[in-house]
Amino acid sequence: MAANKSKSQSSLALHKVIMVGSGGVGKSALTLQFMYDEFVEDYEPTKADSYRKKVVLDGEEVQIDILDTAGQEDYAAIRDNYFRSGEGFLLVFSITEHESFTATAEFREQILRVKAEEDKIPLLVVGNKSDLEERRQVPIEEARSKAEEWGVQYVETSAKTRANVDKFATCLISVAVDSRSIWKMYEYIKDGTNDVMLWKFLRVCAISVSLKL
Amino acid sequence: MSRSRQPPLVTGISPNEGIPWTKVTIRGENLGTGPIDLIGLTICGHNCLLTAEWMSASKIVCRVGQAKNDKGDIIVTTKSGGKGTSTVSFKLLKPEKIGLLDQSAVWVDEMNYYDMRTDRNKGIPPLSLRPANPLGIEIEKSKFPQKDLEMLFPGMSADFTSENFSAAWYLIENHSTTSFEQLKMAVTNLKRQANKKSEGSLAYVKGGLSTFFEAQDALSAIHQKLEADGTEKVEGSMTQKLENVLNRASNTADTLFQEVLGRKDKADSTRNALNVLQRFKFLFNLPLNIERNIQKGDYDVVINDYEKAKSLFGKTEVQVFKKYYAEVETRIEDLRELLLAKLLETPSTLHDQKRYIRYLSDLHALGDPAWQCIGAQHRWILQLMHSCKEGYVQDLKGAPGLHSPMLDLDNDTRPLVLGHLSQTASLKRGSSFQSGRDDTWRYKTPHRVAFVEKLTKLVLSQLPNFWKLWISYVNGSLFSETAEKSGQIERSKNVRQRQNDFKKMIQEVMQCLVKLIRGALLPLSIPECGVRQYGGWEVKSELSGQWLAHVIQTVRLTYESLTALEIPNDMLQTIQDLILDLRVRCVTVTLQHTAEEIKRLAEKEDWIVDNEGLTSLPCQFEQCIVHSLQSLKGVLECKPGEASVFQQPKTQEEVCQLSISIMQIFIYCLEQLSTKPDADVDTTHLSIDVSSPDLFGSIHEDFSLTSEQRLLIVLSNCCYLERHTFLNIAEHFEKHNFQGIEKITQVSMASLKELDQRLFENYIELKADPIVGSLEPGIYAGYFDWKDCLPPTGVRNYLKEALVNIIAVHAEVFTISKELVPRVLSKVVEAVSEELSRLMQCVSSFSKNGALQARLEICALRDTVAVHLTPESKSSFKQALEALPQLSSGADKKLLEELLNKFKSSMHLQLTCFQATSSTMMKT
Repeated sequence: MAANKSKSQSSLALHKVIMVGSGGVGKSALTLQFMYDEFVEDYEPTKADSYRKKVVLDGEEVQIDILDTAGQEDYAAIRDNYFRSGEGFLLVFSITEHESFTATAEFREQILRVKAEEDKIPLLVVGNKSDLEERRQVPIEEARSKAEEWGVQYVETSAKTRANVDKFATCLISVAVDSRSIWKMYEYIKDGTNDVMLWKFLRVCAISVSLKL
Repeated sequence: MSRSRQPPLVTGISPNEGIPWTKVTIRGENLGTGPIDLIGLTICGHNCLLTAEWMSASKIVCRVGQAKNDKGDIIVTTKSGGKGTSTVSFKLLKPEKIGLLDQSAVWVDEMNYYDMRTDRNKGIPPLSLRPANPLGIEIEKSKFPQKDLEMLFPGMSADFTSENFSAAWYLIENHSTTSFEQLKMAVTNLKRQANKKSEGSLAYVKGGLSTFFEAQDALSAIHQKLEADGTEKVEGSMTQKLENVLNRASNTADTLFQEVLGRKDKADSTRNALNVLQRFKFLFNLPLNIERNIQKGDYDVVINDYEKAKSLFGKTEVQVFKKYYAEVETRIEDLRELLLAKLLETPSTLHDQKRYIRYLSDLHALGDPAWQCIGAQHRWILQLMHSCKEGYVQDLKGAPGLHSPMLDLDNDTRPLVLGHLSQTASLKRGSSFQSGRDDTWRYKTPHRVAFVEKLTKLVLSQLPNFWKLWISYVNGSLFSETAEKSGQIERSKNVRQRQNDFKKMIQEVMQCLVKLIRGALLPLSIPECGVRQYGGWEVKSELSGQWLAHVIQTVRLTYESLTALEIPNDMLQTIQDLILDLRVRCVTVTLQHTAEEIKRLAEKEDWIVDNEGLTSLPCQFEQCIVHSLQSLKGVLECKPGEASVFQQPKTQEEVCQLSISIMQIFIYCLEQLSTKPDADVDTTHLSIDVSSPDLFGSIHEDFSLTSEQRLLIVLSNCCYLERHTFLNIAEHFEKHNFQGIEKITQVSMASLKELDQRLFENYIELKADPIVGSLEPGIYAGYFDWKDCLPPTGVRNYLKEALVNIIAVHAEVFTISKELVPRVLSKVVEAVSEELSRLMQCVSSFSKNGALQARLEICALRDTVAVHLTPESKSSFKQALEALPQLSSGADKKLLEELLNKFKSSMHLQLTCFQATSSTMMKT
């Protein structure tokens, strides 16, 4: 029974998403909130955590693999390896700490450098800790304009109050099912004359378009 | 084992890689209900249960172990959910590469993992054991690549706790840039530390000096004692003595405590026994409990207990248990027999049967109790049916006057259908024109009808349950899940055989039902040998058509109810056949009864004539037939699945013959009526319908019917019959789908016409003969001679008399039926004219006056009855005139004219009747 199940799981489409951001901005908190609806109070620096979740996307189950990375500079050296394996990236910063916002640009640079061979990398900028409005250091307009400059979406969330976590989840999924995989699928369909596949492809296109608009 | 929860699923691991003994947080779903529920945890194939700390159903913290695989799943096993799966994996890093003092990309816990196995809560800080900086000088990490160092010192290690510690490596790694001064200082540090350590142990001895001294004293005391014993040498060696002493001490202790120990042992064993009794109380009490529960009827409890006992002690080796279990088995065996007896007991409800069958199958009873029950049920139904019949037959024989007590068997299980049925039946009877008798009829339901009702009711109340039992038997719902497995093989083996058997059973029941009904109602349709079994009804009289129709209704409803049970049609074919036979029988009987009734109709003739010249007889006849057809309506109708009654040519022929005979009987009746002697006619009740707009009503004040009048009435009825009634009846026949209507109409019309003709001729004979006979004497009255007579002065009396007679006939006919007038009169006129012409032709010669006289009279008669002249009478008149010599002069002609006019004017009043008739004729 277990064997069957794991087999069916492995056959599902898998999308790898990586949480990137400075230390203490709440990447793990956000991940755990997304995964388990749970807010972790105590701070424990992450090294590298793996999470996998099944989500239903347009009636179809897909698996999203989330890699929660370490934000501390101590681990900067090993980031390249992580980034190489990722398909979509979530640039997380804390709105109460401007440095963490400026760091996202560096992270983005690093990602682009590592994935230089790819023309479009799915990215999402996430401003966390939106519940601490009184300690805000990063104006929302600034974050938004930056995101626009990069041509990506910007979401403000709070892992503590779960504000916008659902939106975050949607964006996360949209990032996961990125344009790259759609094009991959298109290439695949172009060769064969599989109507069902073409239909699925069109549906996925429609969804991703609606998600990104 | 039932799984109340989903298997565990690990969806997150933090961190996802690390060296052995790394602390990891596992997250996921269904990771157990509590610390006790968690019974297994492996990471990369290594069992980590020992270090696992259960936090919540979605979180477990543990430490990874030293596994062979370097990458693998995290498998959580719980009692409640079983073995789980994981969607994430852990990567185990080589511990050699990350020493305690190495910098690592991943987190390395600083706890003392060597002590983790024994007691993870009492971790000693590793620094206290192994100072991170043994040299006591500042460590400056070199940028020397680890790999190069490994190549420089193969098989060595920078870890100063390891056996192959290489000081050079350590120095290169940690102090490559340290100055010599510093290193010197480090040496002194090291020395100081070493000193500190040796000083430390000395200090420990100092602190516990008194204890050391005490130990020293004790040791020397023992030594002295031994020395002393050794010098005395009392017996054997010193050790032997010591041994003896010890043994004695032991013995003394034993004797001291023996009693206590013995008591304790006894108490222990008693307690043990009590424990056993308590623990196996269930088994020991079971026989009694079973007995009690059987008495209470709690079979479910018994079965449960039995199952439990069976699984617990069925294969026990313990003697006591065996004994008790055997006891239980005998009780259960008794219960099985009891249940089987109860199951086969009749009558019982379906619910009870199902219950008992389930119990039996739960108790693993041998054989196939359900099938036995079906068999018993089948036998019981048959027996019920037969006893029902016997009861009615006995009742009929014994007390024919009394009501059957079985009629009042309105038990609660009486199906609704029958209630409805009796209602419709009584309604039907109420609508019949014998409604006056209805009340008495209801209570005088013929025995056989009551029997059929009872029998069908019986079948309808029993068969559905029987059928349902079978259905449940087939689909296995009779058996509980556990018992099913054991019985499955045997049952499936037999299933085909069983199906055939059951089909036979149903067919047998059906045939029995059909045969019993046939025996009661259609005794001729069952074979000779079965008469005694199914028949035995000593009834001479045939059931009336209405009762038959009622029975048909009952049987039809039965059929419908049986079809509603989804019993296959082929099994019900016999009933269908029975219905058809009954219907045919009913039609025949009804028609026969109608014939009887028609025969009696003649007695009902009241001779009251309406203004159409009819009595009520034709109407009654029509009503009679219509009524009987009406009562057959339901019978003739084809219900779904039924064939037409007239399907078989034989039946068709028979029905046709019966219809014809009905018609003929009526015609015969009419004939009888017309020829009945006068004396028989009871005229006392006769009266004139005053209200009728009969013109001649007043004339018939002292009306008494003569045979001629009756003849006329019948004749008029015949006409009506021919023109209306028979056509109507044919229409009715058509409406009820009778076959061969044309033939019926044709034959009956023919015989009617024949009768009509006969009667008419009779009447004409009766009427015309006296008139015709009186002509000749009238002509020659007073010795009249055609050759010698006076010139005519007018029409002579004989002719007037004849005319008056004709008028009388006219009046007679007119009172009965205006329509018959022309027919009768023309015939009479024909006869008269024929006679006249014969007489004229017989005259040898006429004088002039005689010829004139004759011509006058002939013309007078001819003109008078001109309305009723037929070609025959016309030619007769012509012949009569031709026999006369021609008129010689115009004066004669004039005289003739004059005399004719005179006659007409003098007889004007009498002659108007002919005109009146003609005018009425015109009108009609």
